[in-house]
Amino acid sequence: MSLSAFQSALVRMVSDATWREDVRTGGSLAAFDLSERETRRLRAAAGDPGLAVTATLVRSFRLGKVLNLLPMTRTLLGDARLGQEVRCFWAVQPPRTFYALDEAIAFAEYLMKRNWASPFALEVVTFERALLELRRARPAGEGVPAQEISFCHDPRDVLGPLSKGQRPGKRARVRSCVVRASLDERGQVAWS
Amino acid sequence: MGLPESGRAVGTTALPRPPAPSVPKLGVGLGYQPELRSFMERRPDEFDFLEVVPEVVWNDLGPGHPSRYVPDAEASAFLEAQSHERYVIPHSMGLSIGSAHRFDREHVEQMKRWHEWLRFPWHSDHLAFHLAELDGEANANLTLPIALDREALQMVAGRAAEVRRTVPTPFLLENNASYFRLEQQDFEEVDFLNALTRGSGCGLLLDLHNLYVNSRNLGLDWRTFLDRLDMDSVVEVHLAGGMEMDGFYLDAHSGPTPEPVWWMLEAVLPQCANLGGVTFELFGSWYEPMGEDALRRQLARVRKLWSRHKPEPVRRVA
Repeated sequence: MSLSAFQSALVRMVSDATWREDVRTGGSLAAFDLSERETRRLRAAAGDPGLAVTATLVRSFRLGKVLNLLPMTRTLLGDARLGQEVRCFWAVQPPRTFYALDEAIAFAEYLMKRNWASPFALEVVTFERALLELRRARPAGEGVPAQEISFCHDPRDVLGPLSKGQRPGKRARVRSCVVRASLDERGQVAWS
Repeated sequence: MGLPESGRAVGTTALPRPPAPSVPKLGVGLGYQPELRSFMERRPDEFDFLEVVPEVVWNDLGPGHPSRYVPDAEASAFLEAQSHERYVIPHSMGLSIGSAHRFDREHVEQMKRWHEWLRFPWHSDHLAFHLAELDGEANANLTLPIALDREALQMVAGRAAEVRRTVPTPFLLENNASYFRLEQQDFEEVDFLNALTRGSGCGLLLDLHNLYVNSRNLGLDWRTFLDRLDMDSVVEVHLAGGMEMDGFYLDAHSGPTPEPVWWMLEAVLPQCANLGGVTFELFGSWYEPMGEDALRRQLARVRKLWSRHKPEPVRRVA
């Protein structure tokens, strides 16, 4: 198990900067079943600028997926808040997949469980997650389940500005409604 | 550890060398990216074979899923059409052959199905790992270096031999690019590669840009590396360009091949008797900044060198 544990620790080091710093400064590696040589290797690697560069590449790759696939969420939250949320998400969720869609859906689901001061955050994140869910890869013949999004505000007043890169204003009309999204026979999103 | 001073493995270099993988001489390869489709369709004579990362063309629903690999219909149709005119060679990044916690036999079986579909004369993957156990399975999203120790050599050699038994065509592993070094390894990289190809019968995909990256960032002497490498094991060569970041040189596949990598290619081409092709890799998002003319110049330069040292490329007959 030692080699396996070493690789687990190395992946954690490239995906969790706080833990990497802890290892570098002598923090415990007891949770991993490591040989003495592997322990020395990890401590040395933790202080290696090349490992920090590797971690930056991993972070950039993960962040790129979120920025590309959740554009309205990014506009609504702003880069500073989004960055903060991404760091919190990464602290509990190591990278799981190569695929951008799966990573973005997992992050959206994480955001949906957060408490938001913004009156629009939950409906915007839910909306973008639903669109991604419709595009998720499925085996041939498996139907694509329709997605329902509950809005507390008129969707036009929320999504309209966001689609132009602007945050919705306080004038967004309060209007509870449920929007249903599905794929038509041409693979296009149909709304009802 | 009882290693000789050179760091070479006792008992592995002494193995008789298995027959070198025999492959057709395909010539100039180009890596598939969706952004390059138009170029590939408009300029079919500028490259001889197409290399594709299968994970770009399918979605992986995860181990154990009854329909695990979901093909991208549009990309699959493109590859199908290309395969009637030229060989389509898979260069996978999904196997994670260096992962100690499990060996992904479903991936190997998928490559067997791909071979039945595309009939490629060889296929390849990376000598690295990206999957590890971390409260479930984590995917580092980047090929991480394996520790070049006897334990890893034995594990990877056994797995490479299993891939060869399952997929009836030569299997290559690519030397990795890394930005950090692991201490106190049993082998230097070149000795590990020689021992691996001898011990498993797999071929080497010699990525010269990765070698350049390691020479820039880790101080590896690429001339010594090439002097000591078993050139008979080299079946394919990769070229690419990179960029600087935070004092490091990255394997970014972001533009033209640096001049020292061309020097390496000129040095190895006459020595690699079993070479099947030289492939230029470019990430799709860099195609526009690089431009079509620059891409054509890369391919033309490879062709010129190939023509000087190798026979006329074999064409696929539909």
